[in-house]
Amino acid sequence: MTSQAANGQLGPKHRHGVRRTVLVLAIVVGAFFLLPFVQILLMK
Amino acid sequence: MAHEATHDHHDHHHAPQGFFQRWVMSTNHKDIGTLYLVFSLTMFFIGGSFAMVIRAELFKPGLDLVQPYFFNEMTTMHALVMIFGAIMPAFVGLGNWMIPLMIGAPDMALPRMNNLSFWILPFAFALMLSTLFLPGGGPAGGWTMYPPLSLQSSSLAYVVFAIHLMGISSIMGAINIIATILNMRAPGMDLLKMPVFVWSWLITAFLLIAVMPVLAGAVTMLLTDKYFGTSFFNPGGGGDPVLYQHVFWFFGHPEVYIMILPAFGIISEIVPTFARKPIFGYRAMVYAIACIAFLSFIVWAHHMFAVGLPLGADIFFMYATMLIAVPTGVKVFNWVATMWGGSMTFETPMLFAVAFIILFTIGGFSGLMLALVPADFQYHDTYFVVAHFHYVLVTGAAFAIMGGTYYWLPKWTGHMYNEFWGKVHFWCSVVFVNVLFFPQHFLGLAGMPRRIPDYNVAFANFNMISSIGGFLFGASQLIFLGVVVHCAFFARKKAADRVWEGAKGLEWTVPSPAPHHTFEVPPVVRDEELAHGHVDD
Repeated sequence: MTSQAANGQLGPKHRHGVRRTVLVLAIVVGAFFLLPFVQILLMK
Repeated sequence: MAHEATHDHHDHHHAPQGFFQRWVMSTNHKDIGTLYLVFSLTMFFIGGSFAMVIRAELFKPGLDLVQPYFFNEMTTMHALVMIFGAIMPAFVGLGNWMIPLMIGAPDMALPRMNNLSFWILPFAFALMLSTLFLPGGGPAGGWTMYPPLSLQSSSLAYVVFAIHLMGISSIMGAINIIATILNMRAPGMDLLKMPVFVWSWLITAFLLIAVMPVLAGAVTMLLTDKYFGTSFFNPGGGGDPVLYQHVFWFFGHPEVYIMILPAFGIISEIVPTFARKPIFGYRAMVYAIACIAFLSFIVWAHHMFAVGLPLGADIFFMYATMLIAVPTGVKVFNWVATMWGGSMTFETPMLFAVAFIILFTIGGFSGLMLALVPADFQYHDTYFVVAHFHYVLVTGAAFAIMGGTYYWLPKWTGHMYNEFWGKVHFWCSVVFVNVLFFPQHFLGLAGMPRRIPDYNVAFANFNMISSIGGFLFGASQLIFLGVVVHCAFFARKKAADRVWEGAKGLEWTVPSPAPHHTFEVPPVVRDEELAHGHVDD
C-alpha cells in the first residue's frame, strides 16, 4: 500500500514546491561533487 | 484542535498485508523509519563486535589474538560501520518516524525515494563487509582512506563503490527531509514554531547535501588514481597526497556535525519534557545549530595540523575551531537553564539526556585541547584523540539515540518499555563507557599511538582497564536490545497518547501506537499544543 503522498494525492501547490526544492538541491549536489575536481585542476 | 483533527482520520490506519508488501515495498515513513532503526541496531552490534576484537587484542601487550593486518581491518571497519551504518541511519530512522508527525505532514514528500534510500544501504554494507572475506582482505588503512596507503588495498574498488552507494542514500534522504520540512508543514506550523529536532535535521540535511558529494568526488579520484592512471594524489605524476586530506576533511568535519546536530535536537526534545518547562532560549538554540553548521565548513584543517601547514593557516583553523565552543556553550547553557527550577523527573530518556550533557561536554573540552596547534602536535594520532571522539560519538550521538529511542518507543509500539531494565541499561552504560574511554585520555597523553595492535608495557594497566570497560559496555547493550524487543513484542502496559506528562507537540496528539497513516487531513495547529508555540525570546 502506498501512502497518500506516494499516490500523488498532494495538492498542486505542494507538488510544485517539492519539485522546485528537489531541482535546486540536485543542482547543489552536482556542484559540490565537481568542487574537488575543479579545486584540484585549478591548483595544478 | 490538532487532537480532534487527527482522530477523525484514524480509520485508514491498517498496514498492508504481507511481509514483502509491508517492509520491502513500503513507502510509509513510519515503516521506513523502523527499517532504518532495525538496520542501525544491527550495524551497531556488528561494529561493536569489531570493537570487541580491538579491545581483546589490546587487553595486554603483545600480539596475542589476531594478525596485525586483521587488527587494522577491524579498526577501519569499526569506524565505517559505526559512522555510516549505525549512527547516521539511526538519525535518519528517527527523522523518518518523527519529522512528519512533528510537523503535521501525512508522510515524507518523496515516499518512493525514501524506500530507495533505505534499500540501498543493506546492499552497500553487504558489499563493504564482504571484502573481509576476499583473498586480499578488506580495507585496513583507516576510515579516512589516506593515499598512498589506501591505494595499496586490493578491495579499494569495493569500498569506494559502497561509499558511493551510502552517499547516494544519504543525499536522497537529505533531499527528502528538506523537501518535506519546507513543503509539507501543517498550516500554522511556522518555521520558528517547529520542534528543535526538526530544525536540527533541516540544518543537518543541508550539511549532507553539501559534503557527501565532496566525499564521492574524493573517493572517485582515489579510484581513478588506482585503476585509470591518474595522479590526483600521486607525487610521481605531479599529484599531492595532502590534497586528499584537504578534500576528505572538507567532508569529514561537517560529517562530525551531521552525527551530532540531530543528537542536539533529540536532547532539546527530552530535556523540556522531563523538566516540564519550555526550552530556554528556543531561537538561540536554533541559531546556535545553524552557527555550528556554518563553522563546520571552515575548520577542516584542524585534523591535519601535523602535515605542516603554513603558520597563517594553523592560526586561522585553530581560532575558527575554538569559535565553535561559543554556540556549543550556548546550547549546553540553555539545556541547563531549561532544567533550572523545573519539576524534574528522571525516567530513562532524561537520564540519557543528562549524561549526554555532562559527557558530551567532556568530549567538547578535549576537542578544544586538540584545537590548540602546539598541543595538537603532541596529541596528534594518540589515544587522546580516540578518547575525544568516542566521548563525542558514543556518550554524545549514541546516548542521544538511545535516549530518543526510550523517549519515542511507547509512541511507536503503543506499549511502555520496562523502566527498571531501562535504568539498569543506563547505569551500566554510563559507568562502563567511562571505564572504557576515560583511561584512554591518559594513554594518549603518555604517548600511546592509535591504530596499533601492540604497545609498550608502560601502557598495560590503563589498556586492561579500558578493555574491561569495553567488554562490559558491549554486554550492557544486550540489555538495550532486550528492552526494545520486549517493548515491541511482549510488553503489556499500554502507553497513553501523550506518553510523558510534560510532552508537547503534534506527535503526542496521535494515538499510541501511531496509526499507519496520520494527518491525512492537515491538523489545525494551536500554539498551546506546541512546545514552542509562543516564541518571544
